[in-house]
Amino acid sequence: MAARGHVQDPNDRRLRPIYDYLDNGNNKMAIQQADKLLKKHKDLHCAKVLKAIGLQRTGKQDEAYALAQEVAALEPTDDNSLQALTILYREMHRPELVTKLYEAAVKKVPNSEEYHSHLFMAYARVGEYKKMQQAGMALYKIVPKNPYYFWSVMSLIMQSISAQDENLSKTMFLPLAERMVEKMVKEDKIEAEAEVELYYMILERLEKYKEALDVVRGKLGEKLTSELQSRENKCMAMYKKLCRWPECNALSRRLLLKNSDDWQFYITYFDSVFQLIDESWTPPPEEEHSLEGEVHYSIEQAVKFIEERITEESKSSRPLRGPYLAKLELIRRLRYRGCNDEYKLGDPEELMFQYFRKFGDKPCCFTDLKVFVDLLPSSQYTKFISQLLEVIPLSATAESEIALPADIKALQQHLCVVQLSRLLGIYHTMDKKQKLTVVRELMLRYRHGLEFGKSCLKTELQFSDYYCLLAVHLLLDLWLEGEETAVWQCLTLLEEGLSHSPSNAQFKLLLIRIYCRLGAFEPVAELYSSLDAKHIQHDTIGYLLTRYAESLGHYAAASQSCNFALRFFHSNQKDTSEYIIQAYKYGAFEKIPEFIAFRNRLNSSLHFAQVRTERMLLDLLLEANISTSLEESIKSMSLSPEEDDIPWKDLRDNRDLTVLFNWDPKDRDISEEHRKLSLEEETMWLRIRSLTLRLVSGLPTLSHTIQPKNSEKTAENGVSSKIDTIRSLLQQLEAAVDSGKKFLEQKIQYPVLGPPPTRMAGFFSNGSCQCQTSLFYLVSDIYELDTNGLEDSAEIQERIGNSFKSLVERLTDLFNKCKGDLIEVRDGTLKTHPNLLENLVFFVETLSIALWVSSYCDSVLRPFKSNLQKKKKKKKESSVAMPPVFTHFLDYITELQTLTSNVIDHIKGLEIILTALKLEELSLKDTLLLQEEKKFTKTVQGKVQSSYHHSVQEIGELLKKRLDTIKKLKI
Amino acid sequence: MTTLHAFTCDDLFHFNNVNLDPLIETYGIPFCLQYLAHWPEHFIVGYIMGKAEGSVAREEWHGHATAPSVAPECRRLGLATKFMELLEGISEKKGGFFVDLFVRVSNQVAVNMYKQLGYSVYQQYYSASSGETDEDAYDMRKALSRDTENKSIIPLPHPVRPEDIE
Repeated sequence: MAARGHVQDPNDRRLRPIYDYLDNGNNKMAIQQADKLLKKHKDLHCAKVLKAIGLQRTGKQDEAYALAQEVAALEPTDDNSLQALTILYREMHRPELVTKLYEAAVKKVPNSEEYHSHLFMAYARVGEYKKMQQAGMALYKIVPKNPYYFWSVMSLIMQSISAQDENLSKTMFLPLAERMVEKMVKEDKIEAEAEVELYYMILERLEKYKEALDVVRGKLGEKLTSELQSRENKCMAMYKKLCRWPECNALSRRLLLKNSDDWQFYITYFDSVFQLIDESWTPPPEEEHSLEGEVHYSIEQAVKFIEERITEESKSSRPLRGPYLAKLELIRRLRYRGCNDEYKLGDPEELMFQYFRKFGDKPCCFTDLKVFVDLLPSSQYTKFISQLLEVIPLSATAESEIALPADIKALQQHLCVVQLSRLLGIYHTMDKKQKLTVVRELMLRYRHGLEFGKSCLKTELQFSDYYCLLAVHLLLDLWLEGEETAVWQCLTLLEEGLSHSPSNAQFKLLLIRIYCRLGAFEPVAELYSSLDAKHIQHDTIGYLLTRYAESLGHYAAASQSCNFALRFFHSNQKDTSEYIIQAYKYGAFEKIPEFIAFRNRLNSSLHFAQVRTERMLLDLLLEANISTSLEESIKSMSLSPEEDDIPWKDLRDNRDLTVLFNWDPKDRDISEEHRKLSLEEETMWLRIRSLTLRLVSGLPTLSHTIQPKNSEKTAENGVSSKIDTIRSLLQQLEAAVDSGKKFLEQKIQYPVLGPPPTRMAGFFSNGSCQCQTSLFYLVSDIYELDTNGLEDSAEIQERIGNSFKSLVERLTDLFNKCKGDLIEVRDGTLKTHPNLLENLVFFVETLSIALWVSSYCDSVLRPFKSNLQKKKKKKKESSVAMPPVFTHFLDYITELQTLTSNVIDHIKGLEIILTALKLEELSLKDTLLLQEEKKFTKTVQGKVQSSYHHSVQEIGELLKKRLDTIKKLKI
Repeated sequence: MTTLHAFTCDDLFHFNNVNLDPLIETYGIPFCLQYLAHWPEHFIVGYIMGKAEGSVAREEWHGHATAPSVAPECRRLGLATKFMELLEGISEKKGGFFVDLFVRVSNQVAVNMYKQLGYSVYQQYYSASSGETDEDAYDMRKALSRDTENKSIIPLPHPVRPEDIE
């Protein structure tokens, strides 16, 4: 923990036991020990701080803070206290206090290198760039070490990055940084590689590319050694910026001569050749072509160069793919320019065929060729595929009607052809019968291929796994065309695949997607956890869980998955700051802006905003007015209707939407357009959800304001602004709903394995949207009644009464949309109705909002009623008529109660039906199913059944708790 | 086709196809950033993370390869070999005596590959890699040119428990 130096300070010895207790997590003993020590040594400040750490860790934040401030006020300068306070402040998430601490310390000990450097780091942690710059210079004055000087320079760059005004950054911060470095260069004081990197970074940001190039190519550039081809890469970047195509060309040519397998240099080589052709560039007479040597500036040279690479390749010990693919790339570029056949590079079909012969047994062959299939005319697809098939050594066996591969290489080649067939759309044009034949063939090949992987460990994939995946993709096509049984076959085959290859992430991901589509979340949780996704993966693939868990009624699982993600996002902030500081220490300057950008990318993650919002809505749904009051719940979340913490303009979609493999042709694949639309849809839905949350969080702010009639004055003290907030949020919600509806009018269909659609469509179509907005309008009416009083408010009362009535009708309609069997057996196959489940979940949520609004209404009416009763007693007559709103409210509550009971009964009924569903009796009509497959089908159907059962139970239980809260509302 | 570039934070958003393999550990942000902050030149996509550590005086200054990982469909292309060559090259430049790495005992494919690349088992550890999976691991080493007598790779006779590692 804290430094325990070599010199034995008696205080160190005394403090030792407290450190040990803290290190071992024994906070109580640490506090006791500190108290003991403080009795004897009153001014052993560090003991106080250590005690504060103990207090902080046992949840006594306020005491800890007070104690820490006591010590901090003394402006300590001993190491022990300073370090302990630093630790404490960090645990309190108050890094800004550390800066204060060291500011005081350096004032008292102005020549301490150590304290100055701590001060610098403390500023770095909170991003005080200007103060960092000064602290760095102060350090350099005390101890003229280069790193300190360059910390200061880096701080200037950070000021320029964070400056809102780009002009200021380009005319002030960066030039100043440049001058500071130039000074060191002139004095010949540059020592480290990091310093050169920094110089380069400044010049690059100043767009002084020529100067940057000179640095890299000059003597200073010699220091750039540790990164791979650091100098060359930097030169290349500058040549590109400067459009110095001759140099680009010569350098990439040279690098390709060294390594003809690095794709990026082919791209630069081709780019530059064609640029030079377009510029009609010719080499200067009697001079070197360029700074980097010989330049190619004609198609003939390029063709010759690539052919030479291929000739060279044939001599190499390890086969290289680069040269062959480069040839295809060159053909593509020539075709684009309309001069395809003039250079005798050969026919792409033939070249791809040759490529397949050479590399077909490598798993990457498919992705390599995928890039170039658009060079094939579509009329040649079938011919091309059969040409490939012909050269694969398959042999017919006695047991099987199809020819099978005899070894892994042949299997790999065949797999490549199957993948290409799907890519070329050959399967897509088949009819149902043909497709089923292919599925059977692929599964036969899959099972046969398992032979080769008998010795595979559990952690290894089976060689033939892709056959199974491809068969499932075909079945998915059939399912989307309306073939109900196909989806069960998908699950069956995937479960079978997973049993042979338990580590195959693709099987798991596809199972997750399909189970969710069918409305079964239970198996998903287990599959996902076996993927062992963590850290950044919570952001990139967490959406697979969070989209479905809650909407399918698995509330506990939903909470858990939100928690995992939130823990990751919250720790990001702290972790990245720590490593920004390390980057300063180790001089990894170019990483600093990168780390900051990374932190921002995570902080503005769409998924982060979603789980934050959904988590709070979920907590309210499960707890508010059940275990704790709505008001307390909202307070503990520090929610306020005015506050919007979502960075709407900068939301980043970090979802990995291509985590599932697919081999679909371009026109069926996930496109940029899909991503864009999906982000748009997610953002709209998030806006609706976040506004709902804020509206709910506004309810308690209204309720405890019992206003006397002469409320003109109190109206100004903030209460009326609360209702204004609510009314404005409601308007925003209406606008968000409108744009959501407009969006859905486009009827966008994402690819089945692409981004999952949001819950927005269901929210609109089942009527919960209308219900929820009317509920918030009701809030506004009740508030009006509250401020106007009961007299002369007949019109408002009538309006409220009507709202009650129509709300009951709407909720009943919503309930009607939940009716029906969740799983039914039709024509011998199972059909699930996940939309009924989703509607049920929306019903519960809408009812909960209705009850929160009712309890606001209750809080308004109750005092009126007791006032009236008092009057009644005083006057001792029965002529004081009860205003109609009381009856309306009572009726409303009674009807809500009846409705909820009905829904609970309905759910009970569903449970009985689900339990009674005898899947064993399902005649698995498809006689083509193997015995083995039948076994998996049963497992799959059992899992779905059990999951629905689970959903219905969780929903039912929550609803029962809600029913209990209704009883309290009867006034 | 493949291309090599130094690892950047943004790559973390795109390595699912590599990291959903059960033998590949997904490291936390702190872990990755620490490598990037300290040894940025050792961090390569595909990917390999490396670092330089140890005492020069005791001839223990060396390169350490962490998590050389390749996506399933890009395996058997010699990418790992390339990664290791890179790290060896950088470690040579930095004057290291040897390069070492930890590999799970059960990962036979990898163990054999490292053997082919000239690595030999130096010692065996009980349960390595983040402690979540209780599995033994080999510490494999390869001497670099500075260690002229190959002193660094003479195997230790006894297995080592995690608590004995400094």
